[in-house]
Amino acid sequence: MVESVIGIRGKDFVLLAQDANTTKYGILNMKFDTNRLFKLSEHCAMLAAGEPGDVVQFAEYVGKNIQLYKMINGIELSPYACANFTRHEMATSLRSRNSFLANLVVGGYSTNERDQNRAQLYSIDYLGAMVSANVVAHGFCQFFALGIGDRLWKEDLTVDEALFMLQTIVNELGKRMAAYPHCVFVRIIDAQGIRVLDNMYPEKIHVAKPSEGELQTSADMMDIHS
Amino acid sequence: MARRYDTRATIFSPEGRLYQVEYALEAISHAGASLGILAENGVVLAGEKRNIHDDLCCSVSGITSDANVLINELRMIGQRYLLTYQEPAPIEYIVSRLCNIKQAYTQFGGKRPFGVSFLYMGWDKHYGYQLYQSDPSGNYGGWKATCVGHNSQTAISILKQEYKIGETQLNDALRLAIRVFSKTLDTTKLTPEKIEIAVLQHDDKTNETTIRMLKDDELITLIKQYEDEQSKLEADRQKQQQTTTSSSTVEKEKK
Repeated sequence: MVESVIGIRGKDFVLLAQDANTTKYGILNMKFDTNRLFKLSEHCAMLAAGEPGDVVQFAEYVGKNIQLYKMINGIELSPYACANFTRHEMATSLRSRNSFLANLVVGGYSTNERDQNRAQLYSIDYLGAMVSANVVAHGFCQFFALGIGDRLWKEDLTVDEALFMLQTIVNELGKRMAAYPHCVFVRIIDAQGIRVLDNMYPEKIHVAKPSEGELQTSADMMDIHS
Repeated sequence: MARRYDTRATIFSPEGRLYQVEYALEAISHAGASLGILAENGVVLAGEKRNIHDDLCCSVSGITSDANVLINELRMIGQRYLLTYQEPAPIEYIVSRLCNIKQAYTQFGGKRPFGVSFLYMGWDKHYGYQLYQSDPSGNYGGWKATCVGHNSQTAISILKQEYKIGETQLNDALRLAIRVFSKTLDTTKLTPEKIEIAVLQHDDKTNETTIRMLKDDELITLIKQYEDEQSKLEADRQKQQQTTTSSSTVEKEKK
């Protein structure tokens, strides 16, 4: 729940961001550079968060199956097909002995010119519910990401605008989440493929020093020496 | 010599042949012909047509009951893919999966192979218009133009001569189909009752594929076009013959 995975869809690109902490017992920070991104194909990737073992198991299973498809059939699955396949696996495993507590964000760029929307973004939760939206997120960061997304997202979003939106979200997380992400990994998927962008950090919060006035009590104001 | 190796489909002969598969192919060569031609803007399929899904249709040559089982399987393959990926299956995917099933019957299980050859015509977003042929051995291949069934060798040799790669439009393909059929069908005159032609076209604007059978009047028009061409060719040939004979008589007179 405290792990943040966020996806933002812009004009011909998708931005995928994830926090890099692995926590234990709710209080310990075990790792500051956790990777939650699983590549599905040259232009499609998945962010996964949730139960640590389940996340890796499910994400690797789906990722490798999609790679197998490419080897057998010689063509790459579109992000739409990847997302639907993932959702199908999640829904099937839910109705069996082995279910996975993993929440996913699947994002990609379709290389097929016939597709209307080339940049595609989907959110799949652990119950196999899939939704396509411009801003998606899982975990507590949803409260911040979706609200800020509502305010800042617009049609034909550029990369800089999307990065600004993401920085706003990360700052807000740093300010308002008790277990905040020290560092956020950012990747972009566009016509050139999947690239890693600079890490994002919540901005330093400046809190005003408490004033000396608070150190004064009413008793101090009373002159007791006379 | 071959007797010992006929009984089980899954046995190689000493010469390295699978006799049951070859016998199946032989059965198909007696069946009604199917013809497929790929054009720049569509695909033409002539023969007994079966629909698989919106973008794929195939024609059958061989034992119809075997074909029914495989057609059902083709449709299931298409639908299973649609269920998982929520988009239509690539044509080669469907053909390839069916051929894996057909191949299994040539290697294990002790059952005979299916006595059917299919010609598939379809459209998908990866490779556009496609034409495939599959046979009882489980082999499949993509084609520009091909024929299976009765007199298919004659048909293929005509197609080899007349098909123009990169230049064939749909109406050229239809004319070629009529031409091939009139030469390979065992009848003197071609009529709409004797042939069944289906055309597949994809509209990029609406992203819809239409598969339609040619109606009788369209077939009649095509047949008449062909017959007019033929009679014109015949008339030209006769005129040439007359001029050569007349020139030779002139030479004789000179002598």
